[in-house]
Amino acid sequence: MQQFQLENKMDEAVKTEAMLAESQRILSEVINTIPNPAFIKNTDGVLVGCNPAFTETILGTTSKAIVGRSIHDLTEIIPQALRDICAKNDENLLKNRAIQVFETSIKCADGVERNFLLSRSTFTRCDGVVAGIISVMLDLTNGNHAEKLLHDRTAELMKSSEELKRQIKKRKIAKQSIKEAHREINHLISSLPTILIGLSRENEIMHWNAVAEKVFKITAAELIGSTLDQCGIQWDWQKIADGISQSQGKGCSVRIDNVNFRNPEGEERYLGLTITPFNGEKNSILGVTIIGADITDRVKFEAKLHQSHKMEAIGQLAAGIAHEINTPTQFVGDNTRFLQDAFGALIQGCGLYKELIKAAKSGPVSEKLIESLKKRFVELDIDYLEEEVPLAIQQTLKGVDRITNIVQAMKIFAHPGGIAKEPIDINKEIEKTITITRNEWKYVARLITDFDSTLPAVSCYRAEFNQVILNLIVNAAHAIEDLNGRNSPEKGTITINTRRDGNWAEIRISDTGVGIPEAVRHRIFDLFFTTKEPGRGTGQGLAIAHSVIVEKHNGTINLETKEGQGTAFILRLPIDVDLAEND
Amino acid sequence: MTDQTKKRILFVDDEPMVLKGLQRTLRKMRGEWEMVFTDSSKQALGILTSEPFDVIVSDLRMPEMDGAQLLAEVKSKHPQVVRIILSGQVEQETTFKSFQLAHQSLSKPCDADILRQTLNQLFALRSLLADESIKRIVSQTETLPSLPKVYTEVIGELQSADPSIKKVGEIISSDLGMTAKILQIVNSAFLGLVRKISNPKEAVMLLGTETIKALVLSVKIFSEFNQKKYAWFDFEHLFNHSLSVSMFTQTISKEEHLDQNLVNNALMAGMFHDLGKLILVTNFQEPYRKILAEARETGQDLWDLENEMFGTSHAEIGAYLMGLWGLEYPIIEAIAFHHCPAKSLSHATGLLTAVHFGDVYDRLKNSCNAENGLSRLDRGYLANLGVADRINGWQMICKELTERKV
Repeated sequence: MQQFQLENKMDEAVKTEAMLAESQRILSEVINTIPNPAFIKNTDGVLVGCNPAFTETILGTTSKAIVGRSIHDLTEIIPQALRDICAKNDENLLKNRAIQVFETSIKCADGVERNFLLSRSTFTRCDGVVAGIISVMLDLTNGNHAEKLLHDRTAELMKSSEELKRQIKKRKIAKQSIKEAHREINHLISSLPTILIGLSRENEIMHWNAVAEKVFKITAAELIGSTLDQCGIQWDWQKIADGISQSQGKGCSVRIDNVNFRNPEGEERYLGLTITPFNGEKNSILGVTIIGADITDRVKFEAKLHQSHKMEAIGQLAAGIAHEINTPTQFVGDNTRFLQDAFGALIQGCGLYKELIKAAKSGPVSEKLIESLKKRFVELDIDYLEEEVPLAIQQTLKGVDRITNIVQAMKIFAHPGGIAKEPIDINKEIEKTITITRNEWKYVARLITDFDSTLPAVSCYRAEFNQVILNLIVNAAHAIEDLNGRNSPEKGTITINTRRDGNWAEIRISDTGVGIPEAVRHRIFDLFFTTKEPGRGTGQGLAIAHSVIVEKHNGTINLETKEGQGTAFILRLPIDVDLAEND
Repeated sequence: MTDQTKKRILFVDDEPMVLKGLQRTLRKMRGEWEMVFTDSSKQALGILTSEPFDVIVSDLRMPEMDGAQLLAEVKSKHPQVVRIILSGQVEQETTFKSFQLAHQSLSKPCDADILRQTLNQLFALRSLLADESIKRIVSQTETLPSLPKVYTEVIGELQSADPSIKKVGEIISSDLGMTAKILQIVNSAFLGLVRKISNPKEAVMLLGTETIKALVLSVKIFSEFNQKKYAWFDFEHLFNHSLSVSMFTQTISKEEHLDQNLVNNALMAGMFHDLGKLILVTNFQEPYRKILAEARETGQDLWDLENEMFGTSHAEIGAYLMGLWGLEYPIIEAIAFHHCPAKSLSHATGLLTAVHFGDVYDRLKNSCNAENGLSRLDRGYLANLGVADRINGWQMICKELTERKV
């Protein structure tokens, strides 16, 4: 089989070779028989062929003497004029592959100066690469002038027609590429997995891609030409309009998240949009493109993720919170039971007085009765009650306060979070988180707060913000416990500062714990990276802190740490100036 | 100057307001109890060194020295002091570790009445054992040895890829020590169960596989009986006898239409009646070995010899430990007086009656010594209860039960 194929191929090769030889023979016949002198050079200027008209009439030699040699080496044989033309124009010709026509006077082999028209053009190999230059000469001296004119005219016509052809081709290519570009753009737009809306400067809808059709359930045909604010979609138009004017004002892209809209089924959904202005000449703004997606699923997923982390945090804190509640409940219960007994005793005490009054009313009170009442009074332990009841009441109220505080603070967990920012009092929120985490730090650390009371309200996702503070406080307590040991008599210090720094609210949470080793510093914000043993952390805390502060609040989170000495996390949140001034 | 007639209790809690609350609400006990309060573990240790105490009630999570450390110290330095935890801690991990250190655990918030009851029951127990050195030994007992084959079996099942909770329950319920320990844990107030659990299988189900695993494999609440060391003691016989008496007790309790709560506790009362022997075997090797040999040779009653030697018997010792571990009073009573029911203060047919009969009947069956018959039965006691005529009936059911089992 293989053998057969090989033979077949060999056959073909032989055939091709035969054909090639044949055409070559014909070609050389043609060249040799035409009356016009002709010669062929390769790209290096070496003569590879010529006809008898050239060798005999012009040079007076044989082809053997010159073929295989460069014309520039043949100074004795090739006339100066011819060599000059070649030297000057070969490079240009080889590069541009046009036809060159020259008129020149050449001294021929018979010693007579004759005028020649020299027509030169390149020839290419079968692969299209330029292989050399063919030059054909026309003796003008012998021919009539008309021939020359005709020749001139033809050459001119050829030139202009060539030019015209090139122009047409260029046009065609340009048109084709514009068409193609259009097609590509349209294709791109329709295949984009995102919403793409193009608006003119007057907010007129120019583009409305398939995804936009799908998300809003309105076809492009229904909308093109109308303005975006009147397109009939139930959405937070103000937010979008603000975004558009902001992007046009700044001349750059603006991202707006969680744009509320209601789809035709009445479902509440969310969009994430990026609005980009596009500029015409001289920076005049032509319109904007709005790219975006229905991010409802993502918003929900993120909310879920946060919720699950929150649940995990609750799980971790639950034991501590329970302990914090159980302790005051114990003494509230004990005191109340005591008060119940005390009240009984006091009522009995009142009974003694009644008895005494009754006795006094009916005459002088006997010494015996006084003694007996005194004795019973002592038995009722009234002196002790007098002293202890107020304290019991006071401590009961304290216990109830403590429980109330914890339960109040626990509301930060009840908040679903994730949907809308609201202005919050950062100091107050931190205070709540401190309450809720008390059992986590109180055995290992003192907690000092230094709050800037002039800090304005900051627009935050409340639950997420508290979650970050919670993570950082728990981490701080762990770091101190790692340094001092679990039941160390030595207590560390956790310090929480807040301050305003220009348009930033800065929160600094520092501890006197173990610090973060150099080797892991770059990984601490990685999701699921943890150095804690199971049950103490899952490596989500700092990753979530980073995402909440940096991504959701456009803030920054930095740390300063020294092994064996402690760590400080510095959070910075942008203060909304309008909000702060209204405050 | 301590009043000898008063019971002395030391309360330790890092929250002064908890101590104040306890002080106020327990003030009415001041006639019977001498109470000392401190908010520091270190101080508590100092106080214990200078004054005698019957009970210490301690919080768990405290700064500097936590409750577990404190109780460990108390256990080794003052073993006679009964250790109770009163904690708001709900983390299971720490809680489980404390089981090894405390006799009983109460969780905050704890009703002062329950605390009072618990303490009173413990004080009532104290009179069971007169000898302080034995009291000390019993107080220090954390685990009871288990049959090696049962021990291996339970460990194997728990370490298997997919342990069956049902099987674990079955294995545990076939062992005396494991059953006692698991009931102590499940009934501790930490788990927050309202009713008392008296069925080990139910206890295992309630605790769940993961908890049981943690308890058995890490906290090591069970231990293996060293058969080589105690080759002179027929461990297996004790187990079989305990299981038989357990069954008899339950059947008789039902037959006598005892209160449902008593019927529920019947299996345990029978099971644990001779549990004190385990403590004697492992703590008083040589003397106990001698007594056993003597009892075998002379046919004398073992508890008489025990009384001669120790001033107490396995019955009181077992009852005392089960009391410390918080089992219910009817069980404690049945264990304590199963040889001499007339000494008990209750005058109604109860678990004690059933255990007394079951024990005598089973030993008769085992010894094949029909000659003595049921002579060990306290017929006077039974007559006083008005159940002397029931003896034949009980014999019949027990016989039937044994035959069915065979």
